[in-house]
Amino acid sequence: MSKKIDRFSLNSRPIGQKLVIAFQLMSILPLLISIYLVANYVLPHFGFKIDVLTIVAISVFVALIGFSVIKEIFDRLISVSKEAKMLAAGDVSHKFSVEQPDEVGDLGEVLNQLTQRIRGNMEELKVYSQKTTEINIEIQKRVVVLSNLMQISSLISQGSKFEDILRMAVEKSRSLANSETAFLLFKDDSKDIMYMRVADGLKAEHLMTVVVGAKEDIYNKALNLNKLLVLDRQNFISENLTVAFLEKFQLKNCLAMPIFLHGKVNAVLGIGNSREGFLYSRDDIELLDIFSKQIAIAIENDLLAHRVEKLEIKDTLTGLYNQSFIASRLGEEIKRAIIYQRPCSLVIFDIDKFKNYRQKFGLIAAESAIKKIATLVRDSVAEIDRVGRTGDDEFSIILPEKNKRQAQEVAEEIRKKVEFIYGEDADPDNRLTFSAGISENPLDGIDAEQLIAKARELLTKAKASGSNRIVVF
Amino acid sequence: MSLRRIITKQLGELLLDRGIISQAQLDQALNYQRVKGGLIGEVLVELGFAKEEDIAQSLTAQYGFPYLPLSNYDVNPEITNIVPSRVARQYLLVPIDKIGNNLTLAMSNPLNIQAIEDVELLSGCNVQTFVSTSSDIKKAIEKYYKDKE
Repeated sequence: MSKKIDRFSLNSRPIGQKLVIAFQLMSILPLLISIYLVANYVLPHFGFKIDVLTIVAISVFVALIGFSVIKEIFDRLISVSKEAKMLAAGDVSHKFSVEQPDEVGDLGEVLNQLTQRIRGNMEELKVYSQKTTEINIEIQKRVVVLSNLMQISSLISQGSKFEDILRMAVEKSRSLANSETAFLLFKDDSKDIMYMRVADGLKAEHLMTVVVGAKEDIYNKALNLNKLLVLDRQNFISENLTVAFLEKFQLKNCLAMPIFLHGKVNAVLGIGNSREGFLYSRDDIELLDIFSKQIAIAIENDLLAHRVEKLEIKDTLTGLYNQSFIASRLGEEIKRAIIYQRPCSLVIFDIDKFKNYRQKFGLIAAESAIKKIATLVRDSVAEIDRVGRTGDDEFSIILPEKNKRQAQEVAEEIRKKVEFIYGEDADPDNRLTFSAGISENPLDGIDAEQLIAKARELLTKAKASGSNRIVVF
Repeated sequence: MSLRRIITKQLGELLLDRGIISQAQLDQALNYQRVKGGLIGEVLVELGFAKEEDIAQSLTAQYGFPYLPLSNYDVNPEITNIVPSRVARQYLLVPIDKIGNNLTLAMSNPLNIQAIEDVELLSGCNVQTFVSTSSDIKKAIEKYYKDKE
């Protein structure tokens, strides 16, 4: 029902139809009725007699002229509306036709201005979007650099190998300024040179051969300085030096950052390329600086690790002294012995066939055996004697104030104890015994090296003559 | 450590008993030794409290080691080869004679049993000791071991 009503509704019809209907309602019908009335009742009163058809024709003609004027206005409105629709659909290039300076013309003009403004805004937007893309790329680059830095610092914190950290740092520095090459020079103070520690990228092989001596100008005026070296289109050092530098490194542009340790140049991190007319940016320099700082941390870390290693005097498994402590303490004891005209002995012993034992019973059993023997040895010597684990299954005892005969007594006592506790198992594989060599100052030498060498030699003799024995001479 | 303390004390006490040094001098020498190190006999000589000969003669009198004035004695250089230079220098001893399986040593401190044992071990001989002054033995070492080590 409502659909039927909708069909008669004017609401949904286009303006043209509405116009026709409105025209009919407001002009043709009333006109015809008026003509009919005038022709039939008014004119005959005055004696006129006009042909009805002629009047109708004239009336219709006049009405049509009026209609055409209105229609023309509406047609323009309709076309403006269509064009506006196109504009709405996104066609900003369209220009509205402005034929007459009336209100419809004004409307077209307004729409034209609107279109133009939209067009301008769109162009502006395009420029902004380009800028945004550029910024995005920059951000991306920064993120990559940051993630590179993160990788380096995580390597450092994981305690990775020093060489691996350096290699990674150099490889990652190459991503700066789209460099073809990155390198790391280290200073060797003992030889007064800078040598190539790591090189990455193009010509890495050539770079690895680069050595800069302390007497070269490159060393004194380019590398061993407290400041950054920039060589590109605008920056250079003295002309000869720039040429010499770039030739030596086979580069056209170079950025080299000194790495300081305790206020002195310790290394130089560099990046370079062979592009013409290249210029380094502030960002490149800042980022390279951060990379160089990371490397400085790695170097410092490595130095500290070495220092700690040197300071360590105990073997972690047994709690006995380690090799380096035993060697240095032996040296001290010998010096004392010489001054006081006393002897000092060294016993080196080694568990017999321990490889077999480890293979048969595994690492944990082997470690536990080493620990047990270590405890037994430590408990068998005097307070001033020093016991160390100087090899995998090798132990050393420093016996100050004891000559060879006395040292032999001590060693023999320990040998018997070990034999008694671990050497008489029913299963021969399960038995643990040891062999030893004994050296003495002054009989076998006057320094730690000589005593250690002699004791080892005698230990080898003991092993060769059947193990579970001590050889002193 | 303990062994050395006994010997130094013995030597000090020995000299004290024989009236060569006073208790005050011994205390002073022990203090000096504690700070600067060195053997008590040498310290006493260095401080001028005793003469080397006093020490050698006291050892002779107390323990019966015969005293040998090395400066008047000629050693067969071949005999010195029995004891390597480093052992002679460290223990301050010089081999002076060998008859059969008996080796005679001149030592400044014949109480150093370990040194005697070492010489016995490397020579395979029985060792007999004579007492000599430190400076005489040093001179002899310079003379006989001049070209060695």
